[in-house]
Amino acid sequence: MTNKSHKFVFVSLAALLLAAPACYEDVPNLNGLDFDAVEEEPTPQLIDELAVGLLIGHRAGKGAANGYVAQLGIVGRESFNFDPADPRFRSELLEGQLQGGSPAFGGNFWNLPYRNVKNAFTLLGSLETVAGLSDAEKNVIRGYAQTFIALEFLSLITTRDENGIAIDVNREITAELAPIVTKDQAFDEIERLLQLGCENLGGCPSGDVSPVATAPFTFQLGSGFAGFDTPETFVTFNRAIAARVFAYREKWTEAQVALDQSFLDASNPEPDFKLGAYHIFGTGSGDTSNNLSSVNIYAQPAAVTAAEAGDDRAARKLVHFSDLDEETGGTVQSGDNTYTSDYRFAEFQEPTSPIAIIRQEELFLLQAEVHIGNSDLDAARDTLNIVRTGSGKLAPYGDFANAGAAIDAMLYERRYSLLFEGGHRWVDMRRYEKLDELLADDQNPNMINTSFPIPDDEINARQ
Amino acid sequence: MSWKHACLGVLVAAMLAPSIADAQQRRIITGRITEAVTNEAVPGATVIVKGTDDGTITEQDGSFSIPNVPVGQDITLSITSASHQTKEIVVAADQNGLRVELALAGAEEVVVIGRAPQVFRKNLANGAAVVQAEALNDVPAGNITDALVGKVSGANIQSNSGAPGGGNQISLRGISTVQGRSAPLYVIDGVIVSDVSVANGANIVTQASGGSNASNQDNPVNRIADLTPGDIENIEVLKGAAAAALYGSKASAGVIIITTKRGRSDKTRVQIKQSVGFAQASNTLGARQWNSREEVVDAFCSGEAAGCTQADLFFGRNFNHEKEITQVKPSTETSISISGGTPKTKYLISTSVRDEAGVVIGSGYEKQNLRLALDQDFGDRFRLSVSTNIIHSDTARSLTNNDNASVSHYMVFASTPGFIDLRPFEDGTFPANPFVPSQTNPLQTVELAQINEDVWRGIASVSGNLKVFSNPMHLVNVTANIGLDRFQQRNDLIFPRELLFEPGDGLPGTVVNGTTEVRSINYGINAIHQFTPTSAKWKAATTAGFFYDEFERNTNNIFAQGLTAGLELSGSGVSVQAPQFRVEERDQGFVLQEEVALLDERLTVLAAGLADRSSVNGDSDALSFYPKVSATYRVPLEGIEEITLVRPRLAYGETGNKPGFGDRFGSLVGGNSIGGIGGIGASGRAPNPEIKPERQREIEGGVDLSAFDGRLVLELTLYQKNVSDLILDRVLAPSTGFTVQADNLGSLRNRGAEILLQATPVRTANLQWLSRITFSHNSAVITQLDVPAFEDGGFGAAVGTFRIDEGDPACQIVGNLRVDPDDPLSDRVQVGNCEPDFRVSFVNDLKVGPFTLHTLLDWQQGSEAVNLTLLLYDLAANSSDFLEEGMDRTAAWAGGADITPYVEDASFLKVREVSLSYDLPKPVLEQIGFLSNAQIKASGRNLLTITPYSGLDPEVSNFGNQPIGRNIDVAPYPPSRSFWFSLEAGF
Repeated sequence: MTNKSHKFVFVSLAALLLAAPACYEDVPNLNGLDFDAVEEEPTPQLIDELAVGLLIGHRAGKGAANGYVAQLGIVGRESFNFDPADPRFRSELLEGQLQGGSPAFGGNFWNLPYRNVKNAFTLLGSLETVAGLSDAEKNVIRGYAQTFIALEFLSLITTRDENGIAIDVNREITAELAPIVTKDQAFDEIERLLQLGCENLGGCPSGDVSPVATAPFTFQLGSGFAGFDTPETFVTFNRAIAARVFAYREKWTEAQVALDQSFLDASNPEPDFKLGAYHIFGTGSGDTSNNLSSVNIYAQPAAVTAAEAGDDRAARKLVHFSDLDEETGGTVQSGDNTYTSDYRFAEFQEPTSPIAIIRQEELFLLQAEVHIGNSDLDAARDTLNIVRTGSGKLAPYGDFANAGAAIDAMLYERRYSLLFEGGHRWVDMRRYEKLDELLADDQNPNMINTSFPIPDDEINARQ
Repeated sequence: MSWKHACLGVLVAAMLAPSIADAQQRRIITGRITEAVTNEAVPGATVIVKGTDDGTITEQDGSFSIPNVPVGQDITLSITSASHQTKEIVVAADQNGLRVELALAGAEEVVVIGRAPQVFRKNLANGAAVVQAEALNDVPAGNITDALVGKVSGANIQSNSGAPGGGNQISLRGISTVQGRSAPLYVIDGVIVSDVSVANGANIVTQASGGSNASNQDNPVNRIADLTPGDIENIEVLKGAAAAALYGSKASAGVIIITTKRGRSDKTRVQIKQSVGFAQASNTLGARQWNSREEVVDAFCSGEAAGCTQADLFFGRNFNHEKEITQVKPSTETSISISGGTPKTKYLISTSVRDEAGVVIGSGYEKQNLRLALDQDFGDRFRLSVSTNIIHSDTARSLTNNDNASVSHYMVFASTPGFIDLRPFEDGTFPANPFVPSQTNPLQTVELAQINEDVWRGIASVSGNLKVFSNPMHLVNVTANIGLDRFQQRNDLIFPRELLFEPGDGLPGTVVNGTTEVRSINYGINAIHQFTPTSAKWKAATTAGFFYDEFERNTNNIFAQGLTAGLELSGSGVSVQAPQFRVEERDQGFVLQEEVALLDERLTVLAAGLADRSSVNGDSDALSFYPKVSATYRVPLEGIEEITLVRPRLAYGETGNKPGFGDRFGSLVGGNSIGGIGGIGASGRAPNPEIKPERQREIEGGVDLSAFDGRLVLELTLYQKNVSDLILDRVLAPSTGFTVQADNLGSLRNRGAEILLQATPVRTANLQWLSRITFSHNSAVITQLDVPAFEDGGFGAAVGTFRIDEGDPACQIVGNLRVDPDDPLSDRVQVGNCEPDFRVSFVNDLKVGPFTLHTLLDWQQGSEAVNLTLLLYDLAANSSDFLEEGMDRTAAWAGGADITPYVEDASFLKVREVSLSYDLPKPVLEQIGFLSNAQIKASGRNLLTITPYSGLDPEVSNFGNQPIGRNIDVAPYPPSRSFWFSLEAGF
């Protein structure tokens, strides 16, 4: 080999070695948007997507076969999940202590709301830097986001109850964790956020604060919020949630004010009970379907037998499985034959069946509860009868002998009006300290869980 | 024969075969070629009668035979082998048998492809683990992992289920990661090939991941299954960092280097092999036998006969439902290879077709394969090697493993009593199964459901070797290679409306069209300088190189539900989801290696280093450095006749395990919608801009011994393998809005031993018996954990899960256990370990004349598995021993208070391979004339399993390939044994 060709070889080798690093380059995130980018350079379109994301985030897990409605229904003795693959639907939810270890059995009711709280704070943070939105447009989005944070905290404290929740969570990931506060403090924060949200939406007039400038929402809320999709009408949804919160806290005066500002049409003797805000489900791309139609989900027999004869709500909502579909005849039993049921939930037999967030039927019942709280049993009777005759197609109540009788009547109406709609039965019996009565409904009485524990993941991270 | 003579080389030794002179004044020369020092056989050496075209290639045992050599004259044989010095030997006119010993190549031409491979290969410092072609093909295997079982010490190879088409895990030297990448790196002829497992999407009907473990439970195939064992010349396994350091941050789980067969400059050869066989289910679980109506009433209606509809289904018969979904159908395999060439051009074309029937009706595996290998020399300096391989496989899987919708076969059988008749009606429709909410009748599912996986794959490599400079002292080679691996996997899943479970979600009929495209490209350049001083007392080799690897994956799935009747198209679905998932990784690095052979090549010392960087690291510009040093010494054995080799060795190396794609990013995920309006939201994973590769540091030492003319070989290896910076998902307080963040959070340690003992107690011309035992033991412990102990894999403590805790075994299975029977609360304790105590394989090859009997026994001692399939049978009062034992088991389990009744010993002894072959004797072949070799073989795989495990198969993994988290048994695909009859002939 000549010197020349030596040189050629070595030069080309050196060139290859030097040129080679040029092909190496960084790869960005291909499957999502980075938080930094979203918070630092948001666009109005991104704000809209984040806002819609809160609706999606709030819906997360609600319609799952092992989700919020399904599991709170089991604990409150409304429903079963006969999944033969997972014995914990009975061993934990019906017969033993709930454990904090599994996301599928309680953990998700902690993780998913906080994830959406994070989404809401990301939205609020992006609003600070976004260009191209007016202050009025930003105000109503803030009010909307604050309402959703309150909703998430409400669902958290509903499952955790006396165990408490963390509320001061808008922190850097490396910061010390937000402390767990008491149920009372959590409710205070929920009230505060709902009030703040209401004001930012242009509602909740009070003497000393002048209303903020408002503008229409820049994003669509979809058919689940039909009738509540402008700042003016969304406020009435915000106040309906506030009314529920005040009633839970037995703050009857505030509850009445909130009801008056909500979408309750109290003077209407034949109201539209279904009017309200809903989680909607879909089968389109990217959408989520409602899995409460799962073949494993059944109503507890007591939900059938406890209904008064002729209660149209039971007739509407519960269906014998053999009437559902010709293909699905036969006998259905749980894995170990302790629990049996023949009834399913008629309102959730489609993948697109909506689940109510709050609707007018509950507002009437809250109104009746406020009347009972104010010791106005006649007004309570009249309000309850609107629901009882209108929704239940039952004969009206006569005079209540005492508050206890009124409460029992109210709890019965709530049981069937709000059957399997998000754990109302369990929550109601808990706040009236009647959880033990649920055992009477049980085919295999053991115990009633009063709350879900704070997940192990949260506890461990705090040690 | 003296040692010195052997070293000097040219030796003619014992006669191995009687001379046969034929009538046409021709003779046959037979012989055997061995390595001068170790006495190991030298396969693949070229033996040519000088001045003619007559010649041959040595067999696996180093033997060769050249017919048609003229009698009455001396001839010269020219013997060449890639790694040895070329030699010419004169064979006298009256001599027909000889034995040749070859010396190792010095500054000879050695073609080295890939990432700085060792030049002085005969003194490797790591426990040798090379499996030759012959050992891979003793019994027909569908994929190379099946073929490797029991052949490499320190490799724990387990199948995830009995399904045809693959799904195997190779763990080399224990546990190298907890949550990181756990598959070894596969390198074929210098091409890095992908072993990804792509989920087929059956989850949409099983809803398995919607339960308490969100991992994939689709029983996927890891794609290394695409390779055809018959194409492989040899497989070299680099088990730990000490051997694999030069593969840097991709080598933590070991490297498997596959060399495929190539053509030889020889006369044209045609090799044809045809096998037929069948597989049958080798185990069933059995179920409770129902003997009376009262028994049914007791079990299903709490003893109340009135209204007990289940009892109305009892007619005094018991069906074996498991048997009703199995089949025995013929399987075939055909392979043809044509090879040949001239001294400058060599080629090999091979093709194979395999059609394997599964034991469950409807399942099976088909593979076709076409390969071309070409080597061309340009002058004396440049050789270009090209190979291409096109593979098509079509796998029909079955609906198995965990589900939450009561659709997978064994999930349904668990709660379906034997007395119900599931067989089809006369009109061909199937009865609904009233014992599961979904109504699923598995007999219908196997007939109607289709879970197909169609893969087209192309693997191509081009490499060039340029001899830049060469004189007696210096040899400079430059090698460059480019490799491409590209495959497209199409998953077509069809669940027609008629399936009884289909209306369950309100959307009857489901179709999944999944397409995954994977492309990996890698290239590298090495410059190698070998230096031999004139004294030849020592020599050195220096290698410097550069490499670049790129990996891309794009998965598009279309899930369609609610199909138009009769139209099984995704477009006809009422509900359509089309998620996409992408991965793109780029790695780059530099290698430098120095090898020195000293003291007449008795001492080999190697030092090397690699620096690489990857786009998946938090800091994608930072280089990670991985060093490697090793030394081996061949002890001089002057005057000791019996012992031929004593070689102690010591090696240290480091490798990495780069983070997963996406570990550094936290993201807001788009593609979600509500009522047709799009939105984005957090995924729950927090970003980590500081994530870096896991680091493995391994030290291994051992000794190789060879005695009695190579008839006794012993290899001992001890190693310690520490992995630090373990990438774990730090569980964040969910109140932050995030649930996990990948971070470098812990360390683990493996300690182990490997022993190989090979003996040839009998070695005569007509009788040869070779016996080989490999033993491996590994014990992995978590040595440090920067996060609280956590549970991972499995479904939770009530049903057994894995717990990572400082000081505990890395693969411990924990569960609830009621330590104090009076205390209603259970403790969470270790109840098992997925790591076996040891694994032993025992190979025996007995050659009697033309007959060869080969057996391979595979013994795993220890390790536990959680038999949740049994739990499900018990809960449904349907296990075969329910009245005797099952009732007590569930009572003890008590809703999850005590998992021990379902934690079982997963030890096993399997008869993996048995084959009996008959080689047509040479005289017969000559009479036939056109045949150069012919063999008839009967063989079987997985013929017998002896195990205390009560489930279908102690080798089980509901979650597929997992670094930890295997050994969970939920409704697997049943295991099978296969029988083959093969004919092979060469022309």
